[in-house]
Amino acid sequence: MKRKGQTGEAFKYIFGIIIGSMFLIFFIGFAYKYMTVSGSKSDAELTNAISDELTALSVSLNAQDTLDYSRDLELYISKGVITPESLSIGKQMNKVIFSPLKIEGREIYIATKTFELPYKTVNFFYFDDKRTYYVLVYNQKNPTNEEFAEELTEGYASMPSNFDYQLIDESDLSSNLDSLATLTKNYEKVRFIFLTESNINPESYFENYDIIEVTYTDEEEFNYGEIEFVDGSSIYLTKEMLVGAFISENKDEYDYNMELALSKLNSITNLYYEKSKFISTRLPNCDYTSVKTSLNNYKGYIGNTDTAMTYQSYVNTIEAANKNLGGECPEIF
Amino acid sequence: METIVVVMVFMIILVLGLVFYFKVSYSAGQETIEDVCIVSNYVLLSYIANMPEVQCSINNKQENCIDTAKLMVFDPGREYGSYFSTICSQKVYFTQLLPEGIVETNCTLDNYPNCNEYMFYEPQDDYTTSIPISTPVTLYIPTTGEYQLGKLTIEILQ
Repeated sequence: MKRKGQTGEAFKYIFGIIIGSMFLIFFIGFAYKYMTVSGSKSDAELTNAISDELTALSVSLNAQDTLDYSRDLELYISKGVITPESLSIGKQMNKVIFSPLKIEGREIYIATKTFELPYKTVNFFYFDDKRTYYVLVYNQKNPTNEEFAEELTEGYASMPSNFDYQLIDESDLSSNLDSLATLTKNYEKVRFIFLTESNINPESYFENYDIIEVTYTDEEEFNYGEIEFVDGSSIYLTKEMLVGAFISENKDEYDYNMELALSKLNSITNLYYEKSKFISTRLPNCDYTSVKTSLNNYKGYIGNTDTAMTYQSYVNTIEAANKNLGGECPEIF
Repeated sequence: METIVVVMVFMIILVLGLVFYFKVSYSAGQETIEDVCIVSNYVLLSYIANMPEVQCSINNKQENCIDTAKLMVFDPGREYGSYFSTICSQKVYFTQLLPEGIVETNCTLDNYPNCNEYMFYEPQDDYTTSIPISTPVTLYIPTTGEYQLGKLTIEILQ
């Protein structure tokens, strides 16, 4: 016959094991939750830090920087929203950011250039993680095309020098696809940017590549034209915007940034229009009619993305009207 | 019976410990938010003076001054409200400091340029205190061609 205490001992051990397991599961779960929350908090602070960095860089007309937060980064950038991998909701930067959809790595390379059409409007930001190699293809036999290529690689509005790219003549490209493939084998993607019409097809040499074609309509400054993406075509206004197209993931991302830039241009134009009305009432001896009219007409047109050349004629008109002012009749911009 | 009492006491201590931990975490989080707010506003201080909406532009060249005519016609609350909504809210204004006898009043269309304060952004939020940070700027008055000393102030509202 069993003694009274022997069955109770077994239950004590079982009870102890169950309670102990519950505590262990609780603490493991708590530690895991803490790690997840810490990671999310760190990523939220990171997006704020990036936002501050971009705001500080906005002071510059043309600058480059490398962001290094001593950790591996994985960010999704789409339509002005930067979302770290650990967060479900990102931070809207309210800035024009041209970038691949995913940025990965320990360092992020950024550049900024001012968009002026014709007055300073907003800063464009370009992001890169050196996983994409850009190949700009031009036609050496065409002097205008060569000049266009030089503007994009050596001029003030050139491709950021901290991005990996190469300028190559189309005849050299067709005979060097092999060596280019070897050079770029460590990159995740190669983007070919044809500044001239070309029939070169790199399909058999590259696993992951895409092609953008550029057609300029302004043969003097190359500030206006069209870009043909894989998924459609868009206009570009200024070389700074064209460089943004080179870096954008696709037409949809580029169009969003272009429309945001035009929206800011509309605000600034409205501001200058209001200023011209304000100044003209204070200085009745000065004639601000021409600049007021041209700003008002321009305001009404901004946002139209059918053709780039019309912007050029509006810009020329406004610049001419503003240049006629000066001295006792201060310029509007 | 003793085991159950021990477990209960342990649970009580654990719950007290968790409550203390969450209180400490919460106040540490609040401190971080305040620090981030102040840093963001210092960055904003340097940026606002270079915004195309306020910066002088003469013959399409940017100058290091603030165009007061732009301040008179621009309404950032209408168009840039979202821009100023960092983690915390702030009030932004420009104050003309010279000449010494300048009339100390808010600038309106009626009294410009015989006034000294240009309100740039003022949210409708309630606040109890504010932390002002400022930087010197040059104010340009296009109707008279004058340049005057001023300051840009951001009041961080709390």
